[in-house]
Amino acid sequence: MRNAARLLVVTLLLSLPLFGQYGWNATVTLADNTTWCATGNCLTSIGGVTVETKAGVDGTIYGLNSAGAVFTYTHAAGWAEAASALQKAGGLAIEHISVGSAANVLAQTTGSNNVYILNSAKTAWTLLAGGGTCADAEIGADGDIWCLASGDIFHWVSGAWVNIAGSATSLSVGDAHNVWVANSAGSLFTFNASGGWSVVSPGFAVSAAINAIAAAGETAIAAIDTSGGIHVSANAGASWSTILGAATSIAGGGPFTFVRSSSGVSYHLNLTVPSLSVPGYGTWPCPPSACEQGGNCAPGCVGENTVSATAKFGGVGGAHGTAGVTAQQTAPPATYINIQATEEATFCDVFYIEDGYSQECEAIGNGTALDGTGRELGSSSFLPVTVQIEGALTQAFWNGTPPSCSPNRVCTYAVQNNCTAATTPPDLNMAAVTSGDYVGIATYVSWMNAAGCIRFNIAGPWVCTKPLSFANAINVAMPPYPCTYNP
Amino acid sequence: MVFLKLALLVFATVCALALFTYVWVAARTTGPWLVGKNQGATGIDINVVSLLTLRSPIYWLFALAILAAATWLCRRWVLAP
Repeated sequence: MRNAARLLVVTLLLSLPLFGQYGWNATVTLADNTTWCATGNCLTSIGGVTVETKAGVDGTIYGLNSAGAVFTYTHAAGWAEAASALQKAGGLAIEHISVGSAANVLAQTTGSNNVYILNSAKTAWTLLAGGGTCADAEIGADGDIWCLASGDIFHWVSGAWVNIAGSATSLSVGDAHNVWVANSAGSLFTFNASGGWSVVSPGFAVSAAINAIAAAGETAIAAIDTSGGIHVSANAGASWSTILGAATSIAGGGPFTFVRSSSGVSYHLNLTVPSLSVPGYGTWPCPPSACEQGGNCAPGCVGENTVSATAKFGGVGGAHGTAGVTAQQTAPPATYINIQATEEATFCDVFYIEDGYSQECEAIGNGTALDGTGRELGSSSFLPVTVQIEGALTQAFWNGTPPSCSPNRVCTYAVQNNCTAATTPPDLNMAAVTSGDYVGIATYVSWMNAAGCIRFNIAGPWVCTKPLSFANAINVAMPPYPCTYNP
Repeated sequence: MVFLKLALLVFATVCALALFTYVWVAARTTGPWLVGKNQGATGIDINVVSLLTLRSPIYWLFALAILAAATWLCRRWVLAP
């Protein structure tokens, strides 16, 4: 037995080179694509002909056609006419829509007192408390509402409109901290902490058209210039990138930015794409007796070793075509090699091409190691499918809407996600919680909900198990929670 | 060795009971088992777990069956010479 163990150890030691000490990994992340978009086409048509397309920071999309019909757009269903109850607000035709997020949608009708909010059940438009008549009303991801009326600017605060000094031709609200206006001179302004406007100099004149600017979240801002040029900034206007193409209006922000062409067709602006990194690393151990000259092994692994790593994408490939990017280093076996190949899937629209399952979204990583004679020391390849698993947390609240209860006092409460704007929409999207009978006891209950989630493609849709919910507040409003968010 | 086997059995039994309880409660509440982002999930408040389990004789029947199986395994595997 002892001899067998010795034989095994000796055999393992002698065959170390066969086992190889070079390794490769593959990591897919989301990367900024604006550099590519300056010269490459980043516009993906989502079809439809609208007179207005609006999008929220979470990718919620609404559209109005020339007949005033309200449509919504989803990956699965494409453009679909909204329920008949949403086609009119207060019995009047809808002439403008604003989308902050799925939970914060605004409709503006003809006539006076024309600002309506989509109710929490998304079944009807509710007249904004306090009324008011706007020429252009916009809502942010956190429900913050602003209005232009005869060029004057108003902010809806605690149920009343507050006039803010200045005049503007277009307005956009990311959230309460990211509000922008443009004036007739084409200048761009952002609302500052002092309650005034700070001028931003983007280097172009902003179009005077409504929906010429689009703010989203805390720092994203995009604008259309007077020639239809498309410009985006991810840092509150500190720096701008120009996108190849032309448009008449813009909406949303970040990964969910949309433009509308002069013919009314809407396009997704593919500003965020998958990026594949394949690092290759390691040294090559030689049997001691063979490492005699200059760190090289002999015989059997003569000369320097070459390690390479390749990152590419399927279909027509990524930023560097079908061949992708190959990193390579040649060094003596004892020298630590550390290389990395990185490629971006510039033709992959993970959000609006077949739910991200196009060939151009398939990440392919390869790695090989050869010795000086061309003998393969090791290799690795990575499947294009990326499986991701996570535990997701989402805070959600019930606001007093009567629940449906069974005879054994188990009730189902309709809930709304209560996440920060930066983590909206959460990976675990809550619709209801089954709980005890709080009727007559509470008008507000907040739950923290936990579930296991899985997805099979980077930025693909998360699928979650039925969550477990833990009540964390009753009759005390909870602030938004940084929910699990990995788009 | 016996202690390790016993610890493993206890751990497996707790896991089996927890999993069975989750499946039992999920089956008795509304909403899909697996939910995509576009659908909206229905959570199960842990406060109602007792309402849906402890008062159900059938739940107790299955739970006791798991415990009986664990006892049988304890005698046949853990305490086996």
